Amino acid sequence: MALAWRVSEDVDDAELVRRVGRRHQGALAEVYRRHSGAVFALALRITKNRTLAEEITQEIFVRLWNRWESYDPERGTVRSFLLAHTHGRSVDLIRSESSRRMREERETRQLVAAAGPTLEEEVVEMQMAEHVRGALANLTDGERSAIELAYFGGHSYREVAEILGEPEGTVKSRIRTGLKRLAGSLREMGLEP
Amino acid sequence: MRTHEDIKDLLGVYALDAVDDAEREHIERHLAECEECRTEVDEHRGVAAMLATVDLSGPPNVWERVDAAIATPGDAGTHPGNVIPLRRRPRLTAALTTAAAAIFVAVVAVQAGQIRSLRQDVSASNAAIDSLEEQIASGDFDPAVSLIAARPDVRTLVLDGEAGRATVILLPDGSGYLVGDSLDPIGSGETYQLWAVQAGEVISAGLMGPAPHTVPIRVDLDSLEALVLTKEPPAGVVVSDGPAAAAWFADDV
Repeated sequence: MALAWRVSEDVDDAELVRRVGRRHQGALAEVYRRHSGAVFALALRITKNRTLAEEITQEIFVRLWNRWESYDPERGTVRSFLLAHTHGRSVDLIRSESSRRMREERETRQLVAAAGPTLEEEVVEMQMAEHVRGALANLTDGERSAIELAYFGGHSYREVAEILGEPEGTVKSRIRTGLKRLAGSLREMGLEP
Repeated sequence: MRTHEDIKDLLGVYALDAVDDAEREHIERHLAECEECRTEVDEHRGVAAMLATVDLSGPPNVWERVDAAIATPGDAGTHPGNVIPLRRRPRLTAALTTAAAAIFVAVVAVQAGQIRSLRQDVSASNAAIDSLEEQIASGDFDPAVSLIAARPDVRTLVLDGEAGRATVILLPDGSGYLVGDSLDPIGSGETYQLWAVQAGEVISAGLMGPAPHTVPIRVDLDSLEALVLTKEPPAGVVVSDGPAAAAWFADDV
């Protein structure tokens, strides 16, 4: 089914989610257009499986359609909300091997994919990535590898401790202080996490 | 029973979904009644969401489109999708404008200063390749690099300059490694940053660190005109006006 109408690119993300709550498919398509690239990339990086990553992407946006009210603008950006779900879902999948069941259950419903990100959005993403790489460079090696193994590797902190040969307590606190230091560096660059 | 302090220790790993189910349950029970911890988790998740962007390399031709967009600002109004709203992102717009100007200056300066001597230095480059091959033969490389370097279709480019010598090994798809073992290490207050000149544009190819050993990189080989290393602050820069620490230029530049 074609979308009823397109939503302007000027409408902010939180307002889009409110419109999703009013069952506005165009609003969902706009959220999808803005964030599906990041959702897919993160799912792909964690699961290393294109088909799974596509399924997760679909699930995340279908979930937003069905449970839009679980997004609380006071608690962060829409992107952060979507990526937190994406991360949780990807990690669940690689840990539990439930991918087969998930495929069987998946909804056949297809979202109407609007055009991809605009040039401006792509540039913002690349600039952001550059800043984040810079912020990561400010971490100690221990902090960086613990965060990368947990976040992109989908490992539990106990597994990270084993991989790095460090005590669990050390890994826990490195990840926490690392995240805090990243937040600080990103703020200095004018980016609000 | 876990205390508030115990839970706080776990907030970072919880935000990255790196706890087990029992811990998650404890934490979520605590979060339901602790505003302070909720706020911290939200912030960690915000940072994590930004980390996710690191993997988002833009589509291959995006910089050509950036070029087109900044070269013809008058056209923007006719393509609503390409309008950069000044209200929302003034910083970026300013950065792009500055980039266009600074890039030009940087390229001209680098080329004028270095290109002649580099061209005359073919024998030095050959020597560098020989020494690289020796290193490969002696097993002094990361396995991944050795593997790539052993392929017949690989290109080896030597960056040369006052900071020493770096070697870039590239596969036909533009992926490869920078090997910086012969570069002067710099203090941790600085990093080497690699720039690719592609179709007249200077594009950051990433931060290489203060003492790069082997760093994975990716460039567009078809349009590659030069590779330049500069020394920058640890977070890197969007546009460099620093001198080239080492550089390689394609023969036809």
